[in-house]
Amino acid sequence: MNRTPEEKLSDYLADIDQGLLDEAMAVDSAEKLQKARKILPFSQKSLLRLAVAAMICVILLASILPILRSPAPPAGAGQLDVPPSLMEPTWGTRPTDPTTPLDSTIPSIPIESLDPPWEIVGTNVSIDSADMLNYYSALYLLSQQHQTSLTAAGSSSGYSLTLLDELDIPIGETYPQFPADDLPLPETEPSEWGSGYDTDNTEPPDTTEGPPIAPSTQPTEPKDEFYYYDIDPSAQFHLSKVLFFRIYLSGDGYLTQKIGSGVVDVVITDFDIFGDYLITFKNGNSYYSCLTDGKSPTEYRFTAHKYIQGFQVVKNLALQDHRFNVQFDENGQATYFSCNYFEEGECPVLGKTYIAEVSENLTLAELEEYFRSVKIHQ
Amino acid sequence: MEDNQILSALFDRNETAMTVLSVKYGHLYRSILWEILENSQDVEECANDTLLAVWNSIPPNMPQNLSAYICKIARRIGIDRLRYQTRKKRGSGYAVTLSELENCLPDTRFSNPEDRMHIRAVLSQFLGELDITTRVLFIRRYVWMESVSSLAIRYNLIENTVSARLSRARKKLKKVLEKEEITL
Repeated sequence: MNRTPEEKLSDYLADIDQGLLDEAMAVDSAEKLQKARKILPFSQKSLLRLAVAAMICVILLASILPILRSPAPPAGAGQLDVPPSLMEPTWGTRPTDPTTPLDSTIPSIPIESLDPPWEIVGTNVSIDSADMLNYYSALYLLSQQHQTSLTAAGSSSGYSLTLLDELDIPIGETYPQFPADDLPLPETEPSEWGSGYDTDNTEPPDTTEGPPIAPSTQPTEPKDEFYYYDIDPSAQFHLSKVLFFRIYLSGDGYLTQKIGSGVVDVVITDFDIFGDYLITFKNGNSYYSCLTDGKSPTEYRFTAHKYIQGFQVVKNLALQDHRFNVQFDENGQATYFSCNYFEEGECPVLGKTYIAEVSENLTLAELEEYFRSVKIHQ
Repeated sequence: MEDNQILSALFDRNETAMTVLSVKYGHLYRSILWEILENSQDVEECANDTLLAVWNSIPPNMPQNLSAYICKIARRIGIDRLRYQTRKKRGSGYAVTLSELENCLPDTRFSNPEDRMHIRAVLSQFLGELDITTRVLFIRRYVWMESVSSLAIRYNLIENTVSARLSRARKKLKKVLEKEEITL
């Protein structure tokens, strides 16, 4: 009997290298897949070790020269005067096998050269968008948690790391209030992730804890295919639960076009003014943020349909729905990140994930003032 | 009983090996057969045929991975039964995977005859260059015909994540086949 081309392809796939078939059969669980993903072939491991060793030597040389040349920074109020010996985090666990890029075309990034988030920021931060607000709020909270852990080392009270599965906002329940009842919804293809836009499930953001949040302006001029609402940058806002990690972005996909390629800071926060989890990508002075479209205990999904523009949250169903996925292990460490499956694909996660579960009420002015008083640690 | 013990029993023509195989791997090859045939009577008949084929082929064959070997035989027997009966129901697992693979077929047609070894090498290389997650998903979906929902549960992924990975891989495969000028 003549076989169709599809049948032939199916049969050829069944006839591939037996090692591949055996591997697929052996890796039959999430745990085995996780282990398999961390194992590199021997030859790649050797090359990677040599490359990392070379990079470390270069970085060490580069870091020693400026220290020898520059004078000691003057002591002053607000300066982070932490002895270097205490800069190693005393909270949380550092992964024993930091994720490194697997793609041989990606330059080896020495994980040790990546500053922890409380060492990133310089002076005179001027926050002029909700992206920056999200990002610097996250840095602030992580810095506060780090300072608290340093001054109360060994204490069982105070801030502590939280495993990701304790971040328990269910999908769809803290959804921005878009007035769907009196406005026709745009006719678009339904989201394949289901209830992300189901306004019947929307509830106002939880305001039972902390001070009243800034009232969000209802969409003013509903257009045909998108809605937006304004964020009042002068109001007080409430922030809890922060994740910070880094990825390596390359190629020319959607996200790279937005913020450029290279090492990118990624922040995920639970910010009341946005009504949902927000992810912010930062590369130099470029930012891009979008809201979550769904969440499971080990995975967040974000969608370009809901993004930040200045101090607005915009929902635009006419856009191509670029997706961002982050997966975490049982320790809350980001282990997988992908941008827009059909373009950038999987992007390497670099170094550890910093987590803080802190509740803070802040204003933008207070945030800027805080960072003005912080000097870069050298 | 470990696989090497089962193989030894097969080499010794000890029929208890068949009972052990059926208990140890029965659910595995039956699930593949069910995806293809979706008929319990056909599945049982093919399951028995699978065991018989294993008995007749070991020795002389000495598979390194017994489970993969049995599944390959079961798959072949199930597909042959389906073709023989000419009952390709729409929606059967096998038919669904074939419809998905249709998107991988290259658009261009060349006069080069099918070179089985070359195609095998190209496909192996393509799969070998995928990240392990996508590779495992792809093989399990299109060789073992495991359903998307089953894969999502197995690897603790969201179904749409599985579908998206597979779709991306199919697109890549199409480009590879076109680049290699492979005609099917």
